[in-house]
Amino acid sequence: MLRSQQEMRLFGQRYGAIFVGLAIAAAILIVLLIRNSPRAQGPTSAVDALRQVGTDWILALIIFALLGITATAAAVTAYSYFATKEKLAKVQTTAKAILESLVGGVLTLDTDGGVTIINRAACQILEIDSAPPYPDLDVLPEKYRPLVGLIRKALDTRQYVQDEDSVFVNSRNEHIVLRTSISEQVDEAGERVGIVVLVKDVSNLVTMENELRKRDRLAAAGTLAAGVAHEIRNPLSALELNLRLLRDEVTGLCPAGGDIEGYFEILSAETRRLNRITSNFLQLSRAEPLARVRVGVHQAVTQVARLVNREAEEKNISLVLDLVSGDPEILGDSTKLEQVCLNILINAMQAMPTGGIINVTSCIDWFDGCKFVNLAFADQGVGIARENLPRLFDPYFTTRLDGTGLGLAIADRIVTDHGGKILVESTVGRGTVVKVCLPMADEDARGVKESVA
Amino acid sequence: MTDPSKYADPARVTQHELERLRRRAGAEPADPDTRLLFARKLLDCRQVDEAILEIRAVIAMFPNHLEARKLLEAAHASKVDRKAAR
Repeated sequence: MLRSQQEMRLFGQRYGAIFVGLAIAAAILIVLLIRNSPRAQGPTSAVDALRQVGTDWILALIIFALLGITATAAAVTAYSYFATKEKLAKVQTTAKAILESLVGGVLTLDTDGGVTIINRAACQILEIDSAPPYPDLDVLPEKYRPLVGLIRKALDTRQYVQDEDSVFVNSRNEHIVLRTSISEQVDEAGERVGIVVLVKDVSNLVTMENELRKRDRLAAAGTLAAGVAHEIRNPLSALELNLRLLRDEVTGLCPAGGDIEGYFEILSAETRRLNRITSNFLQLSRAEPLARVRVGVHQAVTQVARLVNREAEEKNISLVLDLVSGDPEILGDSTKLEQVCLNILINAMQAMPTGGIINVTSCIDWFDGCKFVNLAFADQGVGIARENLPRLFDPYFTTRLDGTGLGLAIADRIVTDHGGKILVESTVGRGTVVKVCLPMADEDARGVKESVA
Repeated sequence: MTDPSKYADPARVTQHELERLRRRAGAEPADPDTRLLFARKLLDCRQVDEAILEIRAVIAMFPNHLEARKLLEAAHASKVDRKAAR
């Protein structure tokens, strides 16, 4: 619709005047010819008749000349029309290609809220069919109500937004963050004809920002810890020792069965707790250099499974290892890798108070041209509430009363230092899967590829 | 895995040193390093059961203590080795 209107306007502007002028000239000449014809003027002399014939010929020639010019103009016009049409088609194709190749989603809507243009990225983000007819705003899935609300607000009240983030859950049950900007769309005359909506999936960007913030927090915690924890732990130890001495003294003086024993118990327990907190704090803050040697991932997992197996059996928990053939190697620190596995397994065991099965699996995967070894620790525990998932790797975040909130924070830091990533999927009441993805050592990648083949 | 033969010579560790470490561990019960040091000396003296108790106490306080878990495994292994040797 828009295309034909543009073409007509262009065509009319350029060639309309020529057509009108030629048509008027031709009409005048025809009228003159009719008026000068012999039948119209009645009987004349031979000289007049000859003159009349000559005039007729001149008029006829002029008419033919005009007709020729008109035909040429028409041909030129037609040629220009098709050339312009072709140019327009090219411009439209280029514009469409640009629109389709944009990473961000673009939607345009008219003032009634009807979608006029939508690019492929927008369709992918909003999970709608890219073929016209485009859907009405009201038929977008319920989860996109906040976005629809922003669009309606922009249409109705002309309140436009810039880089507004909203969180959605897509059909794959993934949390996505959409950054939306809405602006006014105007025509050549400056009249408002609708709005332009830009949507972009910034989930990865937000994740990276969160990770940077987390790293900053960890770095700050580390700097503080080194100084503060030492200062606190020494007086705490002295406090505990003197508390015990005092207890011995007082217990000897006071009759048995009083509350004093209980008070001392509480004081001792709390002092121990403070000591434990400071020790954990120190563990988090230790900035030890990362060794870079070839480490067998399966060897590390198996070793840690052996270390916790006795405790697992005591708690009615079965550890099942289902590892891919071979021992994929990474470049890193074996002790730190074992620490990662231990922290995850301990968490899994603590999440299963009534026992169950912990499955540890491994697989090899490619991502961005790099080979990764993926470890998955799947428990049948109580699961993690959705609102707690984003804070899972935050230092000191814990849902357990006796937890330190450092296990996963330390694991995450170690894995990140190795160039890897930890992902957590969880369903309350069903269990949690913690996935550790680590880049494999280059040469080893070939060996495993062969062994897998 | 810690080599059990490492603990084969108890003469290396004097009773005096062991008592000193016991007092130190008692004075700093929440310090895992001190208690594990004491547990190692106990293992050197072949007092495996007491060493296991000491290590378990550390693990109870610090479940993620990798070193303590490795030492506990070594202690259990040395216990099995001793039984087999008999």
